Amino acid sequence: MHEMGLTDAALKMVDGILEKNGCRGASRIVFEIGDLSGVVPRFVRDCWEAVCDGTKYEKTELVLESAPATAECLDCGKIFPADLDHLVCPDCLSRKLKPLTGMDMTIKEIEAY
Amino acid sequence: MNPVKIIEVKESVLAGNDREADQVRAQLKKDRTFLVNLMSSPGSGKTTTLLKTIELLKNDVKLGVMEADIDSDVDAQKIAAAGVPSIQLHTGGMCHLDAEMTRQGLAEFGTKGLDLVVLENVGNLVCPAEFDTGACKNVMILSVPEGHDKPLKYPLIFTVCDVLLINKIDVLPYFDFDLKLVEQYAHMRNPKLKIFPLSARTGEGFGPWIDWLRENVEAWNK
Repeated sequence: MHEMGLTDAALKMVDGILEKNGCRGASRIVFEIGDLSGVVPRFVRDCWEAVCDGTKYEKTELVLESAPATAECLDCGKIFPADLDHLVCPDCLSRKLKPLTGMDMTIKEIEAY
Repeated sequence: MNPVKIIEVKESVLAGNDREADQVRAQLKKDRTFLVNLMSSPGSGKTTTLLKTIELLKNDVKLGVMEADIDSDVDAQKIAAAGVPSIQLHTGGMCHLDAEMTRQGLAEFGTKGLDLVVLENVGNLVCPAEFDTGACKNVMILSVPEGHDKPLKYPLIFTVCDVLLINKIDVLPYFDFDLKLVEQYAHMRNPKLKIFPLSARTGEGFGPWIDWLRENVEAWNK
């Protein structure tokens, strides 16, 4: 259930970004969730509701998009799209992999006012 | 009402925490205090391993311990009974420590003059791996009863750690735990990971771990 900590960290980030941009609130926030992040979108939604309770974000629309992930095979060098259910090189079937992208949950954009 | 504007961010939700963690490390460098973030599952023997480590180091290294738990102070009391300054941090229900909590803990503890501080993180293999606490090095414990497949199931924590202590090797004969296999799996996730098998109960295998700690404390505090 790391979604709680991540969502809480996201809220603090959003607060800081709004302040830096001289904005009072947000009508829409888009998060991108990497396919190798192990973050479950529906849990993020539940956690977001919990951390926003009683804050100015209660009415903010939350959009969750998924971000494709890539991994590199350490045996044959192949770079391929990866997700947590397919952690094997499609060419040589090696399981010695290095994730390259899609490990993060990121704040993509904020529609602020 | 202000006009609506789109702010493109494209930053990890952890970027704020990571910046805070870098500040914590910079302060530790200035104070010449080496901070180790110790992570593991509940019941892997973090506190027992720490007590044994204290016993072997406390005569020549000035050390302190920060215990993080969701509640209670049983761990901090055990450490205090061993004659080492300790502080108990409560995470208020959170399953990990972040850099801000670590910074507050260090400030409250008063770490000036300490060569080494060990932060015993909340027992959990997932969340603590994601939040940089600002520690100089990350160390994790995996104990024999947990099984050798953990690097496959919880890859991130093995990726972010510098050292893996395999604890409870005194009970190896009673478990289907393959030491060679766990090393192979862990190195698949992190080829640079240092692995020290040991037993906090018997003291077996502590030599290389204590040597590593001494070397790293010295290198950081120089």
